[in-house]
Amino acid sequence: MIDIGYFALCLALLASGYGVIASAVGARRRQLGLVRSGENAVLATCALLTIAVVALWQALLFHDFQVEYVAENSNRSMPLFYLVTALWGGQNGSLLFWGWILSLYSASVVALYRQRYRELMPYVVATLAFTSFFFCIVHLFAADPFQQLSFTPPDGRGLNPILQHPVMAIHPPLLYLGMVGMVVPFAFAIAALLSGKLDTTWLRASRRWTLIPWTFLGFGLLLGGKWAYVELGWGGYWAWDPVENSSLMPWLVATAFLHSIMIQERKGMLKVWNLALAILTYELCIFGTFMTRSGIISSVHAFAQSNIGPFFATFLIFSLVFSFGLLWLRLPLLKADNRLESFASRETAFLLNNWVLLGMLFAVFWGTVFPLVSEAFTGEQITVGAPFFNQVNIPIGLVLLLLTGAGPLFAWRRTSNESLRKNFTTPVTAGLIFVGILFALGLRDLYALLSFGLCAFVTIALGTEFHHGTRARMRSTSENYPMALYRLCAKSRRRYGGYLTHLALVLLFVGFTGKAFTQEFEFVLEKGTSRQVGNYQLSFESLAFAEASNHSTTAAALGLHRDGEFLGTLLPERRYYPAFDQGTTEVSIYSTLREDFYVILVGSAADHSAKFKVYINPLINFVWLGSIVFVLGALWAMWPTPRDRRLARVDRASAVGLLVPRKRPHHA
Amino acid sequence: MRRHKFTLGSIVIAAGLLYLFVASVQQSTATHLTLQNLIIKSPGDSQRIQLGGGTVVPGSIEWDQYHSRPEFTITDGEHTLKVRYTGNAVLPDTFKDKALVVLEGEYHQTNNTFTADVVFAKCPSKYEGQSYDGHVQAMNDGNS
Repeated sequence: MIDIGYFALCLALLASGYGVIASAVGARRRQLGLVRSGENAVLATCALLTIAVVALWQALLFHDFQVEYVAENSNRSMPLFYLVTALWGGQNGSLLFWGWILSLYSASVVALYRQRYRELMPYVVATLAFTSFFFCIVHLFAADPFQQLSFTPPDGRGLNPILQHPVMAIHPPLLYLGMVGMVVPFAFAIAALLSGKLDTTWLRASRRWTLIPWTFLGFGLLLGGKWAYVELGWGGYWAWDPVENSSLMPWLVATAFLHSIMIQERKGMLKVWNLALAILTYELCIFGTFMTRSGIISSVHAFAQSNIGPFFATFLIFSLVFSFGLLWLRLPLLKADNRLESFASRETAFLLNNWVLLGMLFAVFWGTVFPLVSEAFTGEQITVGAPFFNQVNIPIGLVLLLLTGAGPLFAWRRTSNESLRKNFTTPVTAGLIFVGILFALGLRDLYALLSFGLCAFVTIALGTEFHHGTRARMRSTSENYPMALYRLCAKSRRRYGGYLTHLALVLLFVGFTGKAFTQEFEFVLEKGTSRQVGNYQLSFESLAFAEASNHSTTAAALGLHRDGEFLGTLLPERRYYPAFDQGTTEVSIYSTLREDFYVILVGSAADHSAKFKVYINPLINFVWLGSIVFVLGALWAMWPTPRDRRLARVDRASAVGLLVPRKRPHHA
Repeated sequence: MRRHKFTLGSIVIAAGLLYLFVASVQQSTATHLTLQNLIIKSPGDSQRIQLGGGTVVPGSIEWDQYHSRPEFTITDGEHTLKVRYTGNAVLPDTFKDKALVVLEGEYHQTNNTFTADVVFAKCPSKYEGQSYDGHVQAMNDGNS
C-alpha cells in the first residue's frame, strides 16, 4: 500500500505538470481539446493524491511502523480518533494533507465551472495545477511521507499528550482549509491578468471562494485560541506568536478584499487594489507556511528545522515576482471607471476599512519580521513582544470597530447631511449614554470605555439597519415581524450575513476588552482551609493521587462559593505521562457569561498543602460566543441564492466562443 | 481639489500609523542572543535579552516545594548558564529536561546567571527534531 501511495505521488507530479502545459497551450491556441485535457489532469491529480492520503492513513491505522512517519507520529496505544488525525500531526503528513486539500479545491473549481467563466478557466486551471505541481515536488523530494526505515520497530513514538485534545485534532485542518483555499481567488486574479479579461468576472467568481477559506481560517484561529486557553494553562488565548501571526495576516487581507470587492462591483474602482489584495492574501499564506516550517524565526509552535525552507522560499519569490510583474504589465488596462465623489459615502468607509486592515497587517508583519530586519541592519536580532502588538493594534482595532457600525450607515456615492444626522443620532447617543453609565459605575480605563462605547454604537447602528429593513418590508407585505425579518435577511444574504459578522466582531471586542480587567492570584492553601479570591470564596477540600492507564494524576477538589452560595466543585489536576516524560496541567474553569474563574494546580507539597494560581477573566466567553456568530454570519452570507443560480444559467448560456463545447445543454 | 484632500487624508493616516509603530517598538524590545553570543558580548544588567538556542540540562531543574519558580541550568553543548525564573505565569508543560527554551530577562555578568521572567519551551519530541534512532535509544533507556 505504501508503494502504491508513493507511486501515486509520482503520477500526481506528472499529471499536474501536464495540466499546467495543456491548459496554458490550450488557452493560447484556443484548442478546446487541450483545455479539457488540462482540466482532466487536475481531476486526475486529485484522485491520485487521494490514493496517497488513503495509503498513509492505512499505514497509520494498521501500525506499519516501518514507515518513518507512522513510527514517529503514532503508536499502538493511541485511540482510533488520534490515529486518523495523526495524518496531519507531523511535518510530512501535514504537507501531504495540505497538497490533498489543494487538489480537492482545484477539482471542485474544475467540476463546478465546466461551462462557466470559459475565458478565465484555462488560466485558472494552469495556476492551480502549477501549485499542485510544486507541492508534489515537495512531497517527493523534500518531505516524503512514505520514507521507510531500514527496520521495523515494535512500536511508534506516538502523539504528545499536550496535543491529544479534540480541538487540536480539528484546529490544524481548519487552518489548512483556510490557507490553502486562498489559492482559488489568487488563481482567478492571475487568470484575469493573463487573459486580459479584467472586468468584474473574476471577482464574481472568486467572492465565494474567498468567503469559504476566510471562514475556515477565522474559525480555525479562534478555535486555536480556545485550545490554548483550556489546555496550556496560562489563562490567555492569544500570544502574538509568529505562527499565530502568520495565519492572522492572510485573514486580515482577505477581510479587506471581501470589502473592496464591493466597491469594484458597484463603482468600477480599485481594480489594481483588488488584484493586489487577492495576490497578497495567497502570498501571505505561502509566507506563513515558509516561516512556520523553515525555522527562520524562533517560535514555540514552529516545526523542526527542515530542508523544505529553500523550496518554499524559491516558490514564494517566484510567485511574488510573477504575479506582481504581471500586474505591473497590465496596469494600463486597469484604469478606474469612477472617482470617489464624497467623503461621506459608503465607498470612503470601505476604503478606510481597507486602510485600517492593511495597517493592522503591516503592524503584525512588522512585529513578526522585525528580528530579521534588525539583524540585517544591525547584526542583532531585536525581538518585539506582545506589548508592541497590543499597543499598535488596540487603537487600530477600535477604528475598525467604529467602521463596522458606521460603514453601513453611509449611502453609496454620497450621504446628505440630513440623512447622516438621521442615521447617526440614535447609535451615537446610545454609545455616549453607555459610556456615561460605565463611567458612573467607576470604569476609568480609556480604551475600555472607548471599546464598550463603540460596541454599543455598532450594536444599535446594525440593529437599526435590521429593524428599519424589517419595518419597510412589513409595510409592503402582510408579514409579521419575525417572518419579515427572516425574509429580509434571506433576500439579501450577502448584506445581512455581513452585518451578522459585524455583530460577531462586537462580541469579540467585548471579550477582548474584558482582558483589561483580568485578575491574577497566586497562593498556597492548607487542606481544609479556605480563602477569599476576588468576589469568590475558595475552599480546599481534598487532594487525591490516582493512577490511570497511561498517566498518573494529582487532583485537588476545591469548593467555590460566592456570597455564601455554593457554585460548584473545581478539580484542577496535574498529570504525568511517563511514556513521554511529560507533565500536563489540567485547568478547571467555573464559567459564566460574566466571567471565568480559572484555576490551576501549580503543585502540592508533602504536607498536602498546595499552591494554586487563579485567573478571573471577565467577559471572556463573549469571544467564544462571537466565534459562533461569526461562522453563522459567514455561512448566511455565502449560502447560494436564487439570484446566483440565475446568474450561473446566464453565464452558461452566454459562454460562447471556441472554448465552449458544441454540444452543450440549453437551459436558458 | 478633492483628490488633494484624499491624498492629504491618506498621508495623515499613514503618519499616525508610523508614529504608533515607532513609539510602540521602542517600549517592548529585547535583543535576541544565543548563549554563545551572550557570553561573548556580556551585555549590561539592565538590558533586556531574549536568549535562545539553549536546552535544559537534564536533572538540573530545582523546583520549590510547590513545583513552581524553578532554578535550572541551560546549555548549548559548550557553555552553561544558571537561570532563575521569577515570572508570574505557570511554566508551560513543555518545560522539562532537554527542552529547548527561549528565555526573556536579564543577564548578570558578575556571577554568570540569568534572571528570566518569561520562559518559552519547546519539547523536542513534539515535532520532528529527533531522529528515530534517538527515540529507540530513549525507549531502551526507559526499559532498562
